[in-house]
Amino acid sequence: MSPILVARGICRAFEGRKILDGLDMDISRGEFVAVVGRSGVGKSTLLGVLGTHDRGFSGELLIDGRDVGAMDDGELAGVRRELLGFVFQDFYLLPHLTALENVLLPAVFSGRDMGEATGRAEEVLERLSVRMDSTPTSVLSRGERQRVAVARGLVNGPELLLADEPSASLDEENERILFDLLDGLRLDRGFAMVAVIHSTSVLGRADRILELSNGKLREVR
Amino acid sequence: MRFAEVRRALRLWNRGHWRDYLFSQGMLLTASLLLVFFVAIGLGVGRLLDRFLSSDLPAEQVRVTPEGMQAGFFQTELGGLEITDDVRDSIEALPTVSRIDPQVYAHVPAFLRGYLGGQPYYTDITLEGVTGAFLGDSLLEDIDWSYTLADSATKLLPIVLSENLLILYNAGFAEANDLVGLTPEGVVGLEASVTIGRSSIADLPHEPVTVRAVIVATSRNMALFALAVPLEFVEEINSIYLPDRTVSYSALMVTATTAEDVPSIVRYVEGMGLRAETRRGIAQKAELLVGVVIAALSALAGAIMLSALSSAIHTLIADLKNRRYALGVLVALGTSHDRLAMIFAFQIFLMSTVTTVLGGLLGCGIAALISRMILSLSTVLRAAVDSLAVFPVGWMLAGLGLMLLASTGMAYVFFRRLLKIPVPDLLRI
Repeated sequence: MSPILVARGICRAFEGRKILDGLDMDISRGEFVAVVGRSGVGKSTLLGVLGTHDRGFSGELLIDGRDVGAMDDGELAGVRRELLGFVFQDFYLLPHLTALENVLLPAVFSGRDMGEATGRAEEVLERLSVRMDSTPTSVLSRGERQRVAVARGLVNGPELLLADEPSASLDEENERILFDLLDGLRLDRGFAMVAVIHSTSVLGRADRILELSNGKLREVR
Repeated sequence: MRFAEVRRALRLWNRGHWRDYLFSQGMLLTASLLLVFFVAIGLGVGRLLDRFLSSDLPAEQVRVTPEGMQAGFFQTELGGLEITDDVRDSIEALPTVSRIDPQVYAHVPAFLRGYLGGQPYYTDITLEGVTGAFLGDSLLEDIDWSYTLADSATKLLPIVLSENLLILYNAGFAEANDLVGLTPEGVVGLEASVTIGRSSIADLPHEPVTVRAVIVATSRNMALFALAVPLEFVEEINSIYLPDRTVSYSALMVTATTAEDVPSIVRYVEGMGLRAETRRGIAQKAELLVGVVIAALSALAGAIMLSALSSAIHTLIADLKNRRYALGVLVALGTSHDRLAMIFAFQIFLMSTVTTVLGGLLGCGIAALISRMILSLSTVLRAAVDSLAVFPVGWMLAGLGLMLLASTGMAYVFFRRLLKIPVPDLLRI
């Protein structure tokens, strides 16, 4: 089976400073890859490039066999919508919307079947124990908002979930619940996951652990 | 994308942000209101000035009057050259003169009695005898402009009323006595009795005669002072009541062969010591005054409107800047630029259209209201125009459309530029 993501010779620099320096990476379908590294080493930058949000890189990036560098804005949006799911470090929720509305946001703006999308969103939110009342996310706790962000990343049924420290705001118990759920969902749906992880208890769940250092990835396990 | 989907998307996009639009839409409303208001009032004032200052004098005509001021029987000033038959013949002999139509005042006291608004009305009058050409043939197209005393049993004496007289009546009499003002349209068709040979201040030895009269039209011809009646009627009563008086004319309407001949006639007439007026002279002064007033109003209106419009555009763009984070989230989650632009364009266009139409309607309403208020304060203005506000719907729609296009177009262009910003930068608060 072809890998869901292939990266070759990826370089990314900010103001002359190389953050990613000829980085190579392959992600197989259904695989869970944990990325570790020192703070400020460029882990979020790497996820930005892999998630096609940051286009200021050089090198070759293939997602589901398609060359990201050759895509226009419309095709890129399609890849993000159809193949990728995101859990951002800062969540990026819209504060005036409820948890359910935030999760449904990509579906609403993509003109998808709302009946199906709502069913899927409610299922994911329920499994993550997120309340589905009219409370705006601005008043939810940080842990709740993190779970809403995870649910949003999963609602479109992505092939690859990119998660930037998805359990950073959770206590150990909730972190375990979250990753139990993600493991279960991965088994059900078969999506791959690349996650920046700090927690050692979670690293044991990863199929592979890659360490980002000096702009390159090194397989730790 | 279906309408229901767009509506759902917009509901989420705008949740908690509706108030952000209040200021930008308020400015757009103000701009469209001002546009319509100034167009309506500006054109209305222009029309009013035009009405006050215009003349029916054709381009090839010269109006010749004595230098002194005269008002028929109430002659206030004499002196200088009078227009006698000799003078008329001298002008008529010019090769560039095609014809001459004289105006003769009745040098006989007279008064008019009738009913105005159900109230009996009396006034001393001066009759001015003129030919149809003097007033402008078009004015009398469907009117039998002939009358002698022999017709008094079978016909009504046709009267053309000077609009100057209406203005004097409205300003000097109606207003002071709290009476209803008169409009040109309101007086046509009014009947009255005209008594010749007597007035409140004068009496002639000859027995007065009374005839029935009707106002058949009003005229803006500036040589017409009060009441115009057929020339032969005035000549007849002058000869009956003052048989020994030398015939003199109060004005001559000289028609040149071509409009190009007018300057030479003017030079000749002025050389004789008479006053000559032409359409160009009157029109130039009027046009200059109207032009200056309109230009000043337009400049003021334009400045106010542009400042309101630029504020509207500025705040619309500021609203968008405040939403760049939300925009970044949507783009990051895979919403296509085109879809976002379409949804945004739909919202901003719909919202701005409603605002612009509302502003336009408010502008019309305020202009109509102000017009009514001003007209209610002055019978002089009421007599001249029905309304101080003019509503050229086509032009107003074009103006509002342009304004709508400018504001939404600028906002759309800015929105498209926002979408070009890399997602990480959009998300960076």
